[in-house]
Amino acid sequence: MKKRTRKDTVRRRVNLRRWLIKLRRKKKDGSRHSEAVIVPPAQLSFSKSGQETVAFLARFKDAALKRRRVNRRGRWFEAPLFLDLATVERMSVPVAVTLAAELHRWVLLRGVSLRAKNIKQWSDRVVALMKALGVFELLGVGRRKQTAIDPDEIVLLKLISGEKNENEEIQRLQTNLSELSQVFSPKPYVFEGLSEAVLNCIDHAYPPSGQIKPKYPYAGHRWWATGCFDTNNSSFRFFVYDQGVGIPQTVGDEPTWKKLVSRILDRLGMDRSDANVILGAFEVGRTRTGLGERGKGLEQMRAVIAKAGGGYIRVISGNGDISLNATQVLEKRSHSSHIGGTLVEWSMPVDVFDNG
Amino acid sequence: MYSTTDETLMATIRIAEDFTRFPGGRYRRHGGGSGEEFREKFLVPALQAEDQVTVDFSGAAGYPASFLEEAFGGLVREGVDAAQLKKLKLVSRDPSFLAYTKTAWEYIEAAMADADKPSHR
Repeated sequence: MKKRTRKDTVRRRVNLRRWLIKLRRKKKDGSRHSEAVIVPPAQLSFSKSGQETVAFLARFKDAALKRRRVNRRGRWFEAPLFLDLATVERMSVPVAVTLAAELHRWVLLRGVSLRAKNIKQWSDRVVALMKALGVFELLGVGRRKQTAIDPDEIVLLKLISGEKNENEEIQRLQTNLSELSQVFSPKPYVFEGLSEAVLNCIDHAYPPSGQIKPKYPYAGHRWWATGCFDTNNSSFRFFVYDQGVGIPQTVGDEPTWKKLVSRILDRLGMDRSDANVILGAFEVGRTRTGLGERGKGLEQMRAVIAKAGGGYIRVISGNGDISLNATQVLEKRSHSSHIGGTLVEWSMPVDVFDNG
Repeated sequence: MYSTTDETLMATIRIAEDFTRFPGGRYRRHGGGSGEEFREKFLVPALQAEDQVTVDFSGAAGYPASFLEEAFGGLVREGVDAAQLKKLKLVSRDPSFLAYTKTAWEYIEAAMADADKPSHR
């Protein structure tokens, strides 16, 4: 048997002592570092697992944005929070956009990055989505994992954000996408739709301070936007997201809008679910009755689809989730709880851009 | 700020070249390139000083409805009268932007109709 040196003995003692300290902490706090880890479901998608996805996002925001403090040896510390997406097998682009915006809000409000955990075990798709959106930069994480995903498979642009209507930035989404995909060329109607969605975020998503106490603090009257080339569905998709109160709440707080939307819903025999209120708001935009110079934004957002000659616009806001094409409602559903803002998505088939 | 011809007192405003290639929101608080800013910096001074004002829409990335409505419909709300509005000529060298000239006139007409309503503030 090899003789143990004094150095080995000291090292063993130190390691034993460290292990005992960790064990004591684990017993005391329930977890080794008193850490908060929110375990996401295997599938993160508003369409395919809406309830679990919305619940996960709500738990994540509760942990990230409401301070949780722990006592260690008589001193109070903020519990560290980790982002661990190792359990996620599939993540949709809309959820990735929403999650990336939440991480950005955390960084803006706290001034520090959230820590990522077990990145090597994250699925290739999740890593590719998060990397493309710029999440790893936000988290201060280098390129720790190579993905097996072909870069052409997910052409997703870096998430951009602002508090003003920065239209040069907005147009850059189109120019960047056209550089990445030869088929796409920038269109004025896409620029207009994106711009109007951003204006809605600035003007209507966040009520004036004091009017409604937000569940989570706002990072200004902020919007997030990105675009992607979806190879699976052969479509170009654009997204604009805000973390505001949602269209149903905004309509409810504005007497003229409320009256006009109620009138439309009564005429159509619809209840006041969030999905129906969103639909009613689009209809008001179409008729423009009684709104004077206002109310043209939603109509122009929907007009993107009409001008493209195909595709759909999807709006997830409050508990409502609707998809419309130029003339009719394609899908309507209610989520179990508020998604924590409004996500507008345009999806247009590649062939509408074929003629340049 | 825009080109003028002294003999005939004509002004030509090329939005993309003289103002911005990326027209923005309704009000200045929305950021640069707003309809309010364009109206106050270009349209109103030109309509006050010139006999004819030509606005060229070509070359921009697009025109959000909020920008167009505030720039052109806003003229009526700011008190520009029908005689001054007759000086306005909306054109586009690029045919694909001609639709915006029509939309801008529609906003002017809608604002005039709103101004005629007795309940309008």
